[in-house]
This record gives sequence, structure tokens and C-alpha cells, in this order.
Amino acid sequence: MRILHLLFGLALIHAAHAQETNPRIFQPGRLKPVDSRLAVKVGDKAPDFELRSLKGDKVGLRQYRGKKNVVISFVPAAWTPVCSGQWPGYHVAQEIFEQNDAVLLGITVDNIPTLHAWVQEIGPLWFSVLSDFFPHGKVARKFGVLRTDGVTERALFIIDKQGVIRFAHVHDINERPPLEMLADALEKLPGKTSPRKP
Amino acid sequence: MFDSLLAIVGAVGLFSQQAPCCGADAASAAECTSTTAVAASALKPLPAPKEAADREYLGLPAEAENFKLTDIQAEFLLVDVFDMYCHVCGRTAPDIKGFHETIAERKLDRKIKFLGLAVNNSPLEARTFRKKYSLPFPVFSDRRREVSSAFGRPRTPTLLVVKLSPNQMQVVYNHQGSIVDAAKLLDEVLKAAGDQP
Repeated sequence: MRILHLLFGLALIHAAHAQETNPRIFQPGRLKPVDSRLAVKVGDKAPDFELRSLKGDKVGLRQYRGKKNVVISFVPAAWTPVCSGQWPGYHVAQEIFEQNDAVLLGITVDNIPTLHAWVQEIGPLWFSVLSDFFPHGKVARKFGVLRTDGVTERALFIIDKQGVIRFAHVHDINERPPLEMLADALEKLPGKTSPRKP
Repeated sequence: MFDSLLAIVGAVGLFSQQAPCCGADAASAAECTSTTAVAASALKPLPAPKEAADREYLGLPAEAENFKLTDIQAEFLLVDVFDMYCHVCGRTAPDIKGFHETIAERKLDRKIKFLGLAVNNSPLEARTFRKKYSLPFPVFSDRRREVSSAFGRPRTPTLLVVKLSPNQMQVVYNHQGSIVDAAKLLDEVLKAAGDQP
């Protein structure tokens, strides 16, 4: 019986070890799943915007009009757990975007220096990372995904080549959206190149 | 009795709610050579790969629908435990692929086989990761960690060297986190598999 207790204790120690995470990633705890109200809906013209990217240029929806479908991934904040996995996952899934003639724009309300340091940690990333820092959350507010504490929802939008919103989804901020959901929505876009499943 | 103990350890693991990724970086890379035995009866079956080349690689019968890791025809199995959403896993994938190539060049590829376990990932996510990094070995979705829990729910990425026998498998080496020195790690892996002094 003592052996059983010893092993149980060892297992607890092991479990505690397994919970270790990157100490540079802030652990915000469980948050209210959704804390805003969408200001756009499928079928609407997407609100235009222009934001500074990590590369220093300005990126907006207009430059892709008639050329590319656009996926916008709002994530709540740099240096937080789910976000620090979601975008590296989209880096791995680059082909799914390309097969559907889509670019990806990643947006947070963090400033450029913070985004720079964070992407150095989690990158490389093939897509544009945009800062909606100042005026704070202006673009997030246009889409209706700015939470009451000033960060954004974990939200995905797909905008077709005509600038029309074809997919809008606000996910539970505590969880990662499944890749299947995004891949399926991209495959339903009109006028895209033939998809090839990985 | 032994199975009961394993069940207790596994159950504690199931409740540990391990963070899915990103716990490991260069500073936290770690190796372990202590051995852990897992009875075949405690293993969760995996669906047999659809691709004939993958089934042939693992030595599984063409008609097999499911298999256990102990069914794989090899002396040692290198298990690449990864998560598509773990940025460190993307950095280690080319090294793991390189290990596979080197082991084939040294004609050890019948003795040592590779397998990827995509923890917390769906089949699409597992396939996407394999394709991105052109991994030449089969990878499997372990969305609920039902398979990797047999190894104590390792963090991602982890490379395990597992000694296979018909009724049990034994983890003889594991490396967690980034790969800082790939040549050194490969030496350690081969040593654990009995191929270097």
C-alpha cells in the first residue's frame, strides 16, 4: 500500500511538471468567452481599414480587392497562451490559404514593438501581422470585436475578392478555433482555385 | 497489479490539463534516459494508415483497420510527439526528418521506425503538419491524448525512443523541447537504440 501511495505521489509530481509552460507567456486565466457584439454580418461589405504591419508598411483591404480573398484573424493579445499557438498553426497551414487564393492578416491591439518581440518568439510567420494599437482598437471596433477590457475577441472573418464578408465567427476567447472550420469556409468561397486537401 | 499502477499514473495525467504547447524552448530542452515500461494491454489502438506505403513502412497487414504501437515491425520506435500549434515543434521537425534520413543511410531503417503523434490535433491538423515539413513517416492525430497518455502525457515537442516487444514497450530515452545540437541528440538516440558505444 505504501508503494501505491509513493507512486501516486510521483504521479502528482509528474503531472505538476507537465503543466509547465513558457514563463514568458502570460497566463490570463479563464475569461468571459465573448464580450462584444458583432458590428458586421455575412453579406455586408467589409469595412475598409489600413493598419501598420510589422514590416513597416501599411496594409489595408483595398489592396486585395479583385485580387485575393482575405482572412482576418483577430487575436486578443501578444504573449498569451492560445494566441501564441494559433498563429504558428496558421504558419503551418499556409498551403490551405494559398490553395484558396487567400491572404491572411493577423491583427491585435498590441503596439509594434510588442508584436515584434512576440513574433520573434513564436515565428517565423508567413502572413502580415498588423497593429490596431492607435487609435486603440479602431478596426476591431468597426468589426465589433473589441472587448470591454480593450483586447479583441478571438475572431475570424473571410472577405471575398469583391470585398464582401463571406464568413464571420467569434470564438470562445479561451479556446482555439478548429482548423477544419476555417478550411471549410475557405472552400465554400466563390470563384476560388480548385482546392487540394493536404 | 502493474496495470493498476499504470492506470493510476495515467488517470492523474488525464486530469493534469497540460498546456498544449510552447512550454519548451532552448533553455528548457531536457533529456531523460530512465526507462518506463508500458504494457500492450494499456495501449489505445490507432487507425491503420490509409496509404499503403505507410502501412508497409510500419509492417502492418494490408487489411488491418486498427493497430497498437507494439504491432509495428521494428525493434525501436522513434515517436515524434508534436502539436501543429506549437512553434517549437515546427523548428524541430526538420531535424527529426534529418534523423530519419540518416538512419536510412546507415541501413538501420528496418530496426528503427518513426511515427508522429499529433497531440491535441485533428486528423486535418496532423496531415497539415506532416505535409508542411515533408515528414516521410506516418503521423497520427492524438486529439484527446489517448495514445500519448501511455507515455505520461509528454509536453510538445518530445522525441521518445521506445523499445518494442510483442507484449510491451519501454521508453528508453526521451528528449523534451528544442533541439540545440542535432548531431549530439542523434548520437544519444542511436546509443539508446544500441547502435553506438
